[in-house]
Amino acid sequence: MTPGAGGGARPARRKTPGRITALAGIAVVIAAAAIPLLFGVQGDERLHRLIADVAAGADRENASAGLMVHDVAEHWYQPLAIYPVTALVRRGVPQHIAERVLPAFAAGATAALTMLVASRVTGNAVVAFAAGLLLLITPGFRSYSTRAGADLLLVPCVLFWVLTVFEHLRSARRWLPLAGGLALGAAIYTQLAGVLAVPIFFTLGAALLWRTRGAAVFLTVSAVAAGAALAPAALWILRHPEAYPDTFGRWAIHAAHLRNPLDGAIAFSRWHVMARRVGAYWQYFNPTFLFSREMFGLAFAVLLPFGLWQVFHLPQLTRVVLLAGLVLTPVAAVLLDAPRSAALVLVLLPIGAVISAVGLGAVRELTHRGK
Amino acid sequence: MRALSSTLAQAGLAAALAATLFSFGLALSPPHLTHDEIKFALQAKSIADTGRDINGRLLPLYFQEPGFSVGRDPICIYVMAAVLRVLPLSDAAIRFSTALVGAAGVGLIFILARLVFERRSVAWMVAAILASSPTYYIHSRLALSVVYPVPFTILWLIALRSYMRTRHPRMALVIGLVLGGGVYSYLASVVMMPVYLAATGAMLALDRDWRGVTRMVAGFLVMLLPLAAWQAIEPERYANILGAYRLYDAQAESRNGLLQQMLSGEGLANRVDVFWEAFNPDRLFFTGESSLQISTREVGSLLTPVAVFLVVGLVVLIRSGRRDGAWLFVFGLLTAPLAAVLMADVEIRRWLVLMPFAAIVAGFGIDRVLAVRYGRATVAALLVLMAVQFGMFTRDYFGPYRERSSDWFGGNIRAAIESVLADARVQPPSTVYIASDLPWVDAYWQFYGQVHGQDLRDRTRYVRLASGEIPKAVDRAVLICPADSSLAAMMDGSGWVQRRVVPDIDGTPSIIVFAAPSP
Repeated sequence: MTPGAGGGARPARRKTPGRITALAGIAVVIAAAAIPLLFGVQGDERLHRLIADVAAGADRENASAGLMVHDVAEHWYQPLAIYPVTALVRRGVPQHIAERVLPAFAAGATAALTMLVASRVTGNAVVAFAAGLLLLITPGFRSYSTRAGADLLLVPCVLFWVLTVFEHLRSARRWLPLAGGLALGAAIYTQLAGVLAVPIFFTLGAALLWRTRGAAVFLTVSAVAAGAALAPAALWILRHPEAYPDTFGRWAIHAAHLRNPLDGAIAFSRWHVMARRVGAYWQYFNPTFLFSREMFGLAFAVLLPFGLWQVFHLPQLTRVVLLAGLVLTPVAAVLLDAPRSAALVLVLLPIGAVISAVGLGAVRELTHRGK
Repeated sequence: MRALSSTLAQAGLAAALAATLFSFGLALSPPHLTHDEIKFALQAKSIADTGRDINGRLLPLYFQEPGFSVGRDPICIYVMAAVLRVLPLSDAAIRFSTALVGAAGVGLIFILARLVFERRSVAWMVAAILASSPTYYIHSRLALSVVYPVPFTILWLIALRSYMRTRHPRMALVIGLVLGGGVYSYLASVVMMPVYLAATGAMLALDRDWRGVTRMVAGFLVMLLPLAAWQAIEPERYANILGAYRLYDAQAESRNGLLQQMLSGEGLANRVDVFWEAFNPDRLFFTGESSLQISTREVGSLLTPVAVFLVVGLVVLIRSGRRDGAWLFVFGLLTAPLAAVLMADVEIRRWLVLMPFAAIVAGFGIDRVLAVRYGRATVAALLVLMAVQFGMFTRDYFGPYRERSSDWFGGNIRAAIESVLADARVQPPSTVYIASDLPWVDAYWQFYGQVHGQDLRDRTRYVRLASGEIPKAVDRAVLICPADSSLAAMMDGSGWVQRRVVPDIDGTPSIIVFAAPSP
C-alpha cells in the first residue's frame, strides 16, 4: 500500500498550487522559530546559571565531566540542553540570545517536520499546512518553544525518524535508515522521555515496515545508526558508572534507587505498581489534561475528537501511524512514573495537530461537496 | 431436563447459584455492619413488625430520619422487611435480602444475554462475569439499596429487547413501568431512570414509533404517581434531593449558586475529571475503590481478564452502529457514572448500573472472540484466569480483608454490645452509659437490642467522654467507650473499673466496657 495515497483517503478535488502551499509552509516554520526569538525564553534559573558556569569553564562541585551535566544533588541535564548554548556563548553571542537559538531551532524543526510528516501520511498538502498552523496555536507548543532547555528537541528527533520510515516506503534510499537512526538515537540527549522514546518509536517504525520490501536492511542499518548515536552515552556511563543510577537509571524503566535493573523489573511487575502506571497512562488522555493550557487548549476539544473520527476512515497505514503514535507517546512518561507531565509527552502535539488537521480537511471537503 | 433447557429454568439456576455465592458467610465478611445497614434494618424491622416506620408512619414511600430528610429508598426496606417476616433479625438476615436482589440481577442478565446472543454459553459467561465482578459481589452482600437499580436496569433492557422484536403495545407500557419503578430503587435512579427513558424514547422516535413512546411515557408517569403524592405531602423533599446532588442549596444566598458553580469552567472541569476517573482502568481492573467498605483494594471493580472482552465488545458495538439498538449498551456503559458525575463523587456505589452494561458488552466481546481462530482457547484461557482471580479475591475477602476493613465498618461495636447484653441477662444494669464518641452507637445499640430481644434503651444514657463528661460510677452501672488511649486515661481515678477490653478482629483493643465497682 502506498502511504497517504489518495489525499487522506479521498483524492483532492482541486489541486492547490504546490508553490503557494510550500511558501505558506515556510511561513509557518519561520513563525514557529520566531516565537522564542521574539518573545525570549523563560524559566529554569538553575539551567541559566549552569550554562553560564559551563561556558565560563567553571569547575562545578561533583560535576561528572563530559556528556551529562550535573547541577545539584541528583539533578542532571542532557547535553543538548547545555552544549549548543555554551558553544554560542563562547563565540561571543550574549547568553540571553544564545539561549533562544536552540528553542528556535527545535520549534522551527518541529513545525517543518510536522508538516512534512502530515504531507507524507495524508498525501494532502493543505492538510499538512493546516497541521503546521494548528501546531502553532497549541499552548503547549508555544509554551515549550519559549522554554530554555532541549525538551522540545525530542519532537523533531522522533518526527524525523517517522519521516524516514515513510520516505523509505515511497522510495528506498541508502541514507534514510542512517539519518533516521541517528536522529532517533539523538533523542536520548534531549530530555528524560528521550531514553525510552528510542525503543518505543523504533518499534513503531518496525511495525510500519512489517513485511515490506527492504524492511530488514532498513531496520538493521537504522538500529546500528541509533546504536552509534547511543555510543557516547554508553562510553560515558562506562567511565562514570556512579552517575548511572541518577541519569539513565532514573530515565529508564526502573527507579534509580534500586540500583539494579532486575530489581527494577521485579518492582515494576508488582500489582499495585502496574495499577498505578495504568492509572497514570489513562490520565494522559484525560480531557482536562489534553485540552489544558499545557497541551492543546480548549479549541482542540472539538477538533481532535472530530479528527480522530475521520482518522478511522483513512487508509490503514495512515491510521496506524497516527493512532499508534497517539497511544505510544505517553508510554515513556508512564514508565518514568510521571503523571500528567506535558514535557514528557510533547510528541502528542504534532500528532494531535495532524489528526485535527485531518478533521478540518474533512470539513473542507464536505463544504466543497455542499457547493 | 426439558425444563432445564428452557431459558427461564437456566436463569433460575444462574440466580440460585449466585444466591448461594452471595449469601455464603454473610455474617463473616464484611466484618461488621455499617451504620447505614443498621438504619435500613431498623426501618425494615419496624415495617415487618408493625407496618409503620420508626417514626410511626404507616407504609411510607420514603423513610425519613433526622439528618436524612431525603429519606431512605423504599424498595430496599420493603424487600428487607419481607425477608424479616420469615427470618429472625440478624446481621446475615438483613444482608440476605440484598443477596437475593443481586442474585435476581444475575438471573435477569442471563435472560437478557439469551435474547441478545445466539450461543447459550455466552449467556452463561455474561452471567458469570456479573456474578464474579468484585464490586457486584461486594455490594450484593451489604444491606444497602445501591445494588437495587441493577435488576430494574436489566428488566428495562429485556422489555425493550422484547418490544423491539414484537412491537407489542403492552411491552412499551412495561418499559415505562419498569423505569418508573426503578426510580424508587436508589437515589441515583432519580437521575438515571429518566435518562434511560429519554434514550428509549429517542430510539423509538428514530423509528417514528410515536405510539410506543406515548405508552412508555404513560407507564413511567403512572409509576411516578406515588412520588407525586408524596411530594405533595413532603414538599421540601424535592429541594432536599437537589441539595443531596449539590445542585441547589436553599440556605445559600444565591439560590442557583451551586448550579452556576457546576456550569463554571472549574465545575465542568471537575466533572470531566470525575467522568474520566470513573473509567480509569486502574479502578476498573486493578485496585478498585479507595474505600475499604466497598473494595478490597487488591482487585478492580471488574476482574482483570474482563477488560479484554470489554474492549473487543466495545469495538464490535461501535462498528455495528445503530443496528438492532446495540448502541444502547454503549450508551448505558458511558452514561453509567452520570449521577456520580453530577455529585462530583466518583465512588462506584453510585453507579453500579455500570455492571450489567459491562457484562453485556463483554458478552459481545466473547461472542466475537469465539468466532475467530483459536477463539475458544482464548476465551477458555481468560475464563480460567477469571476463576483464579476470583478465587484469590474471595480468599482475601474472607481472610485478611476482614482485618483491613474492620475500622471502615466502625470497629467491633457488636461484640461490646453483645457482651453487655449477656451480662444484663444475669444482672440487669441500673444505667448503661454509652460514649457517643462511638459513631452512630445509638443505632447499633437499638439494633442489637432487638436482635437479642433486650430493650435497655429506657436506662441508657449517652455521654460525650471526649468533652470530659464522665458519669458517676453508681451501683450496677455500665459504661461502653472506645479503646482510645486519651479516653482511657480520663477514666483513671473516676471510680469506674475496667470489666473487659473488646478486641477487634486483628486483636487490637477496639472498645472497653467499664462497670461500677460492687458496693
